[in-house]
Amino acid sequence: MIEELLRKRLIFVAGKGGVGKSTVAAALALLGARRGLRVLVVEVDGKGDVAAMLGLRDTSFTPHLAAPNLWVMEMDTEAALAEYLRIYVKVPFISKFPGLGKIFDFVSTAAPGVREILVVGKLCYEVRQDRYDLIVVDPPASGHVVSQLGVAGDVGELIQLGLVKNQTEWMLKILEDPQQSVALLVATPEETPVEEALELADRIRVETPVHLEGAVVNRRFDGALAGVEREVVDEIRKYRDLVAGLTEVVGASDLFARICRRHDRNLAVLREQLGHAINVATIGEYFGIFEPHELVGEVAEVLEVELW
Amino acid sequence: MTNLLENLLDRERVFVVGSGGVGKTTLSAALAIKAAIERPLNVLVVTVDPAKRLAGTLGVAALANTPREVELAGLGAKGQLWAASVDMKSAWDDLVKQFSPDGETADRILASPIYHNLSAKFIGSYDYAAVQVLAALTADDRYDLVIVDTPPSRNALDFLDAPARLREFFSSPLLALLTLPRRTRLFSAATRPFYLVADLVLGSAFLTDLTDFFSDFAKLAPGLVEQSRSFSELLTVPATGFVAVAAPYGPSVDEAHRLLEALRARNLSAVAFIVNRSLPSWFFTPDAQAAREWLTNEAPDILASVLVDNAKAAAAVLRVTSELVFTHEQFARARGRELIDALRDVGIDLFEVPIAEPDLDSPEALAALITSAVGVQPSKQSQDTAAHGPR
Repeated sequence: MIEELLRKRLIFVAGKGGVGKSTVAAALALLGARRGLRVLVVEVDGKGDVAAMLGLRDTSFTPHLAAPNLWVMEMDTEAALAEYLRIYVKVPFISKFPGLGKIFDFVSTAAPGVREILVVGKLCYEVRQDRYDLIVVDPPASGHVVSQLGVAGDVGELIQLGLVKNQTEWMLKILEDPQQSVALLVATPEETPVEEALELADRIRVETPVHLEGAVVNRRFDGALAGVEREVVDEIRKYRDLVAGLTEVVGASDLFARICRRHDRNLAVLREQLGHAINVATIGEYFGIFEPHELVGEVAEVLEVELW
Repeated sequence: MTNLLENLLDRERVFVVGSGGVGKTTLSAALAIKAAIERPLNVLVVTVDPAKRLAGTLGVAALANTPREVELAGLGAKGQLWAASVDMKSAWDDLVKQFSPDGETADRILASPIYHNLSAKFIGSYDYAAVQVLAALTADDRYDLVIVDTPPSRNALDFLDAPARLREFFSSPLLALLTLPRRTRLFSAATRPFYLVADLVLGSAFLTDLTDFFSDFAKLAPGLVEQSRSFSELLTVPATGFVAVAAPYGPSVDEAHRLLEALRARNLSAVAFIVNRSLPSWFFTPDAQAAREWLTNEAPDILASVLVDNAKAAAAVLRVTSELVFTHEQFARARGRELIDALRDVGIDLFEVPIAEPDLDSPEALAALITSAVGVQPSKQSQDTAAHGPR
């Protein structure tokens, strides 16, 4: 059922910092590209994580090709503004005032929502331009994504006239159509990330027009020894005085089992509170076995199986 | 090697910094609890990361901008613990009221839809509000030690630059431009094209609202700028320290170095580096390696002969022994020794906080987390160099 997700045009990967949003965004994009879709991944916070994971050293506002069918771009509000002015404000004198972009940049800093609308506007513009089949967005940390996704509506309220007002109407149509735009929540199965993911889910539902499609729980400890296997472990424990180091090895397994139980419990809370309409996929912990760029390929394969 | 808590106690303010998901909030609370238990101090922990769970763990209904006392009943606490969190919206409201020249200006700002959006929803304003609340709390004489959990941001230290950005904003030509009398604006050759385009793009009504709003907002500048300046100064005084936190897996070695470098570049004093959620070091002895070999080579036969009566268990032997070996191997690889080795000799006190065994669901459990911190020794080589001293 991953097909259904990959048929969307715009996927916002949302979650708190450190849970693996960039990994999931990169993996999803790679999966789409491997299936022949033309995919654009957009890094909104400009850390370069997604680009690095996909083996690129540089990113810019102009998309770079990272793999067949897969482009990476870095959001840059100033460049987005310049592009916007070039496309929509066909005023010839703009180019004659090199300082104008700078002035606008600072209005976009000060005027509420202008910066956000430039970001979301650029994404929606790419959807409308139809150069890519799928756009995957790796936004900055939790709260910010809500501001960005909610901005079309907010700015619509604030700005009653002018070009921006007209812009928000078609943007809203793209953002609120669950066939075109969806948000995908990412969390880890620890208490705080789960709680914050649930809060974020509520905010996405209440404060943004974007449909929450599902969640990915990353770095899950899974597969603890159970049932008769525990009996065998107990038998092995009896040899601890004879075999030096056995206590350590069994101790590691016991710790693993305790963390697995904790993760299962937290995962159950997440599933229950998100409601059964929201699919939750899980990705295991890889224990630093892979370099980041190798990890993306692994995660892409897991998502292919796990994602509804 | 001093202990983790000792490192903090000669400071009045400690900022806990690091990238998202490394456990800053939990460690901040844990350090504060431990300090209040061990010392006769008035300790305040401020979380800038809005974490409801933390309030629950501390046993208070909700955290707010005004500190609340946290009960440490039954823990034999020598000191007192207070906790606060930064609520952005009310922080901004307070600032407007505090720094407006008069009540009318405050009312106009508070009623403006632009203010509403600016304060409640939009990026960047969070840091300013956080800084202002922290400025007030960290300057409060009632607390002997203030521990601050810093906000999640793209760069772990972004938020520390907020005071400078705020000052820059108030002194920027932007504000001058936006608050220029309309008549002057229309005749200024420099700003005319801007206003023409801005009218077209944003609509003139919005532009008027915006300039009106900023005319009022600019009146807050003297107070806000003054407070943010004293906060900036506070960050570099000897009584302020920074604790850096990282998690042991992933590409965190570079991140850790970047963080330390960023502190150094800002002239901020790092008092300790904590590698959080490390795995217990007793797991990884040479003996454990030998036991893994025993499990692989000898255990299956031995167990099979012992478990003949339990057919199910006998069938599970290979599965179990290989899982035990695999789990231990994975942990051994993930242990984050790389990170610890990379930081061992950078000249900062380094601590490992082991992954928590029980749930961190009470002040007691959080305090135990700090008790479990282990100091990491510099390598032998580096100790020798230190003993001889610099030339």
